[in-house]
Amino acid sequence: MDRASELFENYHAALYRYLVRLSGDPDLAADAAQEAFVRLLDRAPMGPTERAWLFKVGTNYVLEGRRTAARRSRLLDGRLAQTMGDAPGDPHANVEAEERRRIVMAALSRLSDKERVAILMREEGFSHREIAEAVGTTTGSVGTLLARTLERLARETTFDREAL
Amino acid sequence: MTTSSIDQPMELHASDGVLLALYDHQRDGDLESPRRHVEQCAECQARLGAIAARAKHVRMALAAVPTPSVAKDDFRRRVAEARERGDRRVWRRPVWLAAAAIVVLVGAAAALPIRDWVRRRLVESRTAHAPAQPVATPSTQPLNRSGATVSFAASGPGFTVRFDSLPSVGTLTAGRTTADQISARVASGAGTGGDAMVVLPGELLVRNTSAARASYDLLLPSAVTRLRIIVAGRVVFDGAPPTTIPLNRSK
Repeated sequence: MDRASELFENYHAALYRYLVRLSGDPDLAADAAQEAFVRLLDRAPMGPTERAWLFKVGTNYVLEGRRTAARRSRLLDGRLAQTMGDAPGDPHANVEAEERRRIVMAALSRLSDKERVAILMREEGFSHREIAEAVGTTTGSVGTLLARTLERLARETTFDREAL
Repeated sequence: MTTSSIDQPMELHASDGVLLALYDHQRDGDLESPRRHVEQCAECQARLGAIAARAKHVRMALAAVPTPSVAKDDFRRRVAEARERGDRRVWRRPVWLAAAAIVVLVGAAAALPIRDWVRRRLVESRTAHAPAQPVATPSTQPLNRSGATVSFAASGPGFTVRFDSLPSVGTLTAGRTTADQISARVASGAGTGGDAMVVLPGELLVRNTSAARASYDLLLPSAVTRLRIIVAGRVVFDGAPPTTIPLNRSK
């Protein structure tokens, strides 16, 4: 397997999933992933830091690209549903899934960039140290950031009023 | 010594951050002491349980955001084509500002806002290393003149300077510095081609146009042993500094 194939195999799915959640925009996420891979392939192999570097480039691309008011508006009002994934066949399930997606994206959009990056990197299995480096804080304080963000996100994504 | 949760002073209770680090099986930092405390403390165990429940809830909630299926082969083809072109302005969006860890504007497009936390990192980086010309807040202190300088830490032995376009005229002179940071300076011709310098990990991206007439000075610490200069997708230099390269020599 050549280097490009290996990199795609190892990182593409996770990076794209992360960028879609980060941006709420599959097109922007695809562009960001593409940019990150192009840059990575232009570099010499970096070893264990490769994955974090890839996510960092993708993150910065998304944060820069998401600055426009139009894009933010699209994210906030959740009109991306039609472009996201395969709709289930059952109309009722479809509506419910869309409502859940809208609630989650709205909750994510209310987080700061730092909180959103941190919580989504955690979901992709990055260590607290790697997350701290990515968002420019210390390993000691990133746990507090993550815990606080988890609490907020859990509270704001309670679909059926279950107690948390 | 172990104590029950009743005996445990409040200040020894684990913080939510530490509890999450335990839940996430982190290995950095000293978690052994709080781990022993939690094993003995009913209150901390309850809080750990609540954190675990939140973490599981959030994981399920995030699963509600579907990831569109992308054929791996299609994506690989897109990446390969972009690399062959060597031109990142082929994206569907024509006004991309690229992946920027730190953005410093030099010239006409000077007032881009960047995220607060990115700015803070710039401030921290520059404060720590006493740069040639402070740029704490790029959006309010644009560098729009010759002599404008950006300094940043090297991330490895290799460093790339990439120009978007083949400029009308200009040179890049790479020299050595005893400082521990890389320093890039617009030696002359600032503002002739909408120049902006974007600092990326291991790379400086110059967003210039074919009308640009700017020349640049680059100072590299001894830790940087390999320099690559890429103009409009073409490698014009790949070797050890110092060197002076005419940026328009592909003409």
